[in-house]
Amino acid sequence: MRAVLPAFFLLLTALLPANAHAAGSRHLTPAALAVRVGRIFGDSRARIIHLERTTAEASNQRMYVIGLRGSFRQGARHARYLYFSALAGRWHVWGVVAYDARHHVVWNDPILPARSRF
Amino acid sequence: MRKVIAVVVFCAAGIPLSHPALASSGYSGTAAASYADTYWSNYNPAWPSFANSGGDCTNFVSQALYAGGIAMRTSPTYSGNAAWYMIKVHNRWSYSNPWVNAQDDSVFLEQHLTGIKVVATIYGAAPGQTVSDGDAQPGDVVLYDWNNDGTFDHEAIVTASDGTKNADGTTNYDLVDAHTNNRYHAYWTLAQYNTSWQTTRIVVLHIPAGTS
Repeated sequence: MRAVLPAFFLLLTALLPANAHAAGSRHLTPAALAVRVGRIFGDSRARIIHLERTTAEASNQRMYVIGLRGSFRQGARHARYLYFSALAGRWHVWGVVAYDARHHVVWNDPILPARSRF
Repeated sequence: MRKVIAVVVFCAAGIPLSHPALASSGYSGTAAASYADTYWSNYNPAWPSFANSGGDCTNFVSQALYAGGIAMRTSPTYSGNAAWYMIKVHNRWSYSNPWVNAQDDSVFLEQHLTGIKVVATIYGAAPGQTVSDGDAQPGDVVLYDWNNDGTFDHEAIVTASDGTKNADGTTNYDLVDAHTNNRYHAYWTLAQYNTSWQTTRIVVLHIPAGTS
């Protein structure tokens, strides 16, 4: 039993960050945002290749600039990389820029609508 | 002996010796940008910081302009927004509003520095959008009014290029450094970091070489 408890605790710790928003906390982790934003564009298993933790201008809220690598699509268009800005405290994602493998811009969404959260 | 006199005069003016000396030939935007690149994250201990008391953005840009060669305008010779200084008197910092406040600094720069020119004004630049900054040069100042109420809330300094060219083939200097929040070579609109980008007005001021 003694050996099982620490292992269970470790498992909980590992799972919490990505699902903190579901446990009552308003904090959205980069991993959770990567899944949600990636899912909107067809790849919920995209890999985080860039992460900047900072503070938003004007509102002074905690935010991230996140870069993903995966297989994304918007209509008939395909992209390899996705960069976006997101608040940590609530769902607000803006400045989504998708690039192809040669880092040419494929599409650009200034802001993701709230209804696109799932 | 000359050196001793120079040191005494400098101390009497209340300007800390650790500050970079003014360039006699006036403003060098490259020197100002270099200063910003050096201290964007590691704050220069020779100056006070306002990062935890209202924000350090204008104080940082002022330090860079000073390092680039813009001379201080001390009181009582200069007053109101014509005064631009940060000096240590009797071990306490004394400063003018334009040195530390973005709106007041905009008045100082536009109305009291000869030759300053507005080279770009934009509104609502979207993140990811490439916008002309009016051929800004290193050392130029960028002012931000988050809600377009006529009062500037933030400022940054042009420091580098993302490698793109202007229509005439010249280098497009479009990246800025700033304090509060600390930014290094960020795209000049800051829209990527700005939740209020839709209402933000931005003005770029060019400071000609040689301005003092």
